Amino acid sequence: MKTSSLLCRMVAVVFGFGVMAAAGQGRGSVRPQAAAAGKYLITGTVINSVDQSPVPYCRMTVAPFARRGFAGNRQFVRGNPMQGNSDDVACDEHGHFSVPVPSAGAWRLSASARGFVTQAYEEHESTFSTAIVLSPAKPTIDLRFEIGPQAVIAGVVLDEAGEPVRNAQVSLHTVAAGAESGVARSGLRSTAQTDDRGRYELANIAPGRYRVLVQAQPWYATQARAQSNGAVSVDPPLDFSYAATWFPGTDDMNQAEPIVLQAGETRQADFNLTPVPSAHLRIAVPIPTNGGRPVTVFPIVQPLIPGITNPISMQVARPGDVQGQMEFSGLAPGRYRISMAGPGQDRGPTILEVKQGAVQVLDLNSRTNGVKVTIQFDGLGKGGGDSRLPGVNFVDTAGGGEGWLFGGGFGGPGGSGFRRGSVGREDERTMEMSPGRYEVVLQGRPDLYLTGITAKGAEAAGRYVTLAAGSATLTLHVANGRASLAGVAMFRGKPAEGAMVLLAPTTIEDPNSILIPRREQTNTDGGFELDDVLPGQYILVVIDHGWHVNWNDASTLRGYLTQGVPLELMAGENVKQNVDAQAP
Amino acid sequence: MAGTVALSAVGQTTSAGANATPPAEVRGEVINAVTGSPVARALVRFNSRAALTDHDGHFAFPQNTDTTGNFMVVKPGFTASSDPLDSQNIFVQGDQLGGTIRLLLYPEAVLTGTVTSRDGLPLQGIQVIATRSVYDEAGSRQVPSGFTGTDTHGNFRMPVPAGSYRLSTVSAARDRYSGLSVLPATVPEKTSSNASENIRIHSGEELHFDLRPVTGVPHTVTASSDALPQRGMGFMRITATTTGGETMQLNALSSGSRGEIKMELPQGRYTLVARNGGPGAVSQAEAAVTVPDHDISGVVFRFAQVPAIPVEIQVDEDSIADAAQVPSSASQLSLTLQNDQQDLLVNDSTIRLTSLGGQTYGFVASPGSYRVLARGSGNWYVKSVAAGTSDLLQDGLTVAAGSSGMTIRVTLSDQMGSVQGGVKLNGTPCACWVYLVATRPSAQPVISMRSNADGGYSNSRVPPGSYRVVAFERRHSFNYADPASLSAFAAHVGSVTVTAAEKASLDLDAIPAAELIP
Repeated sequence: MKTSSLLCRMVAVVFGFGVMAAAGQGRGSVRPQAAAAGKYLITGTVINSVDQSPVPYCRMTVAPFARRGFAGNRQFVRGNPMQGNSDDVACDEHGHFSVPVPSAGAWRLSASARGFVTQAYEEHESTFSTAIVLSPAKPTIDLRFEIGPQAVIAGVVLDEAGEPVRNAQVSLHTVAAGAESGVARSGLRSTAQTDDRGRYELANIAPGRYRVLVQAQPWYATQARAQSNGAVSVDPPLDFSYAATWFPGTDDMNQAEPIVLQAGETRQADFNLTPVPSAHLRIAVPIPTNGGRPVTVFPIVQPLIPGITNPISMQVARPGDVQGQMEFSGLAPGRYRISMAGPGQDRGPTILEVKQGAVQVLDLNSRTNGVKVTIQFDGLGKGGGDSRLPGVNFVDTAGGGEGWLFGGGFGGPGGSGFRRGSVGREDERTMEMSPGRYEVVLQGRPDLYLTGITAKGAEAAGRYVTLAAGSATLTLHVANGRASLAGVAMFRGKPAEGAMVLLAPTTIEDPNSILIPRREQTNTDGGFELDDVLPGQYILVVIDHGWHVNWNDASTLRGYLTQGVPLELMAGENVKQNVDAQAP
Repeated sequence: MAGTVALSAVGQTTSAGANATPPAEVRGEVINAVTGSPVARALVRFNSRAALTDHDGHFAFPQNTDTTGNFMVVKPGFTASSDPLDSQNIFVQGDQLGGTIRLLLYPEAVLTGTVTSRDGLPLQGIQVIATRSVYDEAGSRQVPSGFTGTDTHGNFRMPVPAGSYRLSTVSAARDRYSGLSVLPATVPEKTSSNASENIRIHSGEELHFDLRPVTGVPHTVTASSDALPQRGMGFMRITATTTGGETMQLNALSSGSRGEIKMELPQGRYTLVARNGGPGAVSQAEAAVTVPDHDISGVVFRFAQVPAIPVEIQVDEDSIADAAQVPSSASQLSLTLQNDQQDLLVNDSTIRLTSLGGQTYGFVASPGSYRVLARGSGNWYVKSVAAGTSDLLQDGLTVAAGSSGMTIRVTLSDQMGSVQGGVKLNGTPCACWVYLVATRPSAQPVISMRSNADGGYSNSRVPPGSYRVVAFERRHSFNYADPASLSAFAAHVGSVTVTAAEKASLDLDAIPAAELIP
């Protein structure tokens, strides 16, 4: 459960920053500590946030509070909150609960009930929540725990003839309230399939802003292709496909109409799909041999849907016909990522715009439009000990999140593009990529952070690089030792509970900034902690009841920043800073 | 003159034959078999070409050069045959290709329902399974044919081919919202008197069912075992059967070094069955347990080896063939035990032979009632299956708990007879399906065959006995064991008695597909 603190300590031990004791003390106040059993108790009432009535027979789950940490520039939740095990506690018919916990410390309490979205205490944006802090001085706490009835989006998907589309994939995506990373992203929240009437239901939705996407194929085109045994010669009147369609009917995410859901709301989102003539792609594949015998390789053709990090559908190859030629039909015109799977396939993926009309040919035997990228590191190993190269993820800013991953030994967001580039020097890697603008994200070494990029044959700005055809050498300047920040926020003399903490880089208005904003939510005692912060200059802002503040708007944010606390966080430093919360 | 070609006619071998002139255009229509109305936007496949029907259900393939045609018709919401086991292809040749090709589509049936707890609250996210009764030469059995989950209102819907079904909800150890256990529920409800009763749903029909599973606070039941295997709990499966006859598989956790087994059940009375081991060596324990409103312990599983029932082969004294040609082991006879009471979600309903070492084969069957099915091998048919004085084909096999020492004796014979004849459809010879249904219990309750394009059929390996014989234009599976399933076609049903080494003849008047709206 305590992955985060364990990880921090391991890092601290390895690099000997001399901050371990401080870290231990600083966090001791809110980490669970063994104490006399039965002494620590969380009580309260679960309330329906819409009609303010108690929620009977709900289920409370408690777990040590796991802080969010950072890997690369990405935010993720460390550790898995305990889910559905026998340690949970049921509410009575009046929504009252009494949850004993084994020790003092920071606890994450969540409530589940039939017809409600499972939520942590004072949860915001499905990410942040208020940790419940118990101490020997304050071993019990009584909460009013509001949970919202589930919201639902339901609708019907019809085809061009007004007939229901069966088995269409409908997916729900969050509209990011604030981009902590530079690339606009849309997080996949849930999926549903249409039934025989073309109807779908996306349930268990928390309040928020969402977009809905439908992916489907015209049934007649699929059938005609299936029956033609893979031959591409589908009769033109049947050779259609549907582009991935955002509600209310656009293939451009930016034109999509966000659906704003309040707790308990049900909204209708219907689709009428319009077919477009299919695009055709032929891929010429170099067939590797093993001892003179050809080895089977498979191209994977994956649609790139702008705004979608992980496209749901993936077009997997048919085995090749003569001379390593493989044909794909039934593609909606658009961008695709083509990668090769199989033995000996160490080439990076190719991104291709597939258009309507004649069969488009991609010759993987002679790539002419690629860019050969060499990566070097500067600053590795200065902290001693760990000499592993970090993974480097190149996130395509236009594609909405897909990327190339160099090394690092594991699959990340760009895992399907994982390539261990050919190794020349020990600290150097090369790989072929497609031209484009990318955000550079380090992976696999949470202790390291990027301080800058120097580029030859490419343009670098902050954490972004723009690659053109040809070859490029990128030097990634890295440093060791992230910082952490902890403190207590007070509002009008009392602990600011559940307030929004924003650690804004002074460079926040520079879109290429190496530093990125961080957010957190204060605990029941007003305390907050931010781990794994990139060293640099920041302004700390705490806004009481500030979760609706549009901090992404520069002029709104400036008003708060002028009242904030300027801070410089040095590498490996563990800073304590109390702060007065601002009114929203 | 352009005639109308029946949907499945494998064209008569007319004088035109393969030398026929290709019609300049191949055209036809797609019809809803239930309503008789045209079906628009159906995809018709004709050899390598495909087209959608227009708003009148018509299709046309101009500039044709083919003299024969393989047709397929597809449309979401329809099936191309009344029998899910039937081929989707329709073959047309000769002059018929120049006529109006008439293709039928059968609307799906839709099983819908609502799952609520006993206190009336809709249960969301409950999995629902439809199992269908299937009849073929291996007898009747239940196969899973639909799977879905309930929505926020507890509603579900499943499009299925017309047929006989049971609907079951899958038990949930802990519902993720309420934390309650949800026990399985089935329609038709399981009672001792109507265990084989099914939902009958017709083409184009939509039926609604309410399922009300029992829900309850789960309590931990701790059991111990008198003989745990040395290698731990790897293969143990525990099922619980409620007093209502619903069976579910439990998530059992072994805990501690003393071989304790923990499982969760809501308040109620259950029969627990624990099975251990793999093919060939299975031990089983049964325990009755009453779960009060709190956790309990003290349940003891006393394991006993499930006895293997060896199968021996003997040759009927009338047989004339060389003993060397007799199948050397029972594994060649497609011998199975069929348990119709079995809950498909818990156990397979078919038990196959397992090797008991060397050339010895047998069944490892838990206590219960079984039907015995066997196909012959080569020139041999299964004349009788017996255990002691009991005729297993007649009485079925009952395995009692703790019984042992039983041997199944299979008697083979090569003394078979022939059946032959001609099949006509509306007076014209046709390639049709012919079914010989044994009137007495048999290891092979039905023998099916196709007539050729001239309508002729014959089979020289029919076990002696009397049979009801019927022909259908297209494949038509029915409950062969139930004489009532052919009563609607009495005028078409013939009968024949087959005697060893003799030929019986019977001409048949096939039942047109249009009369079989499922």
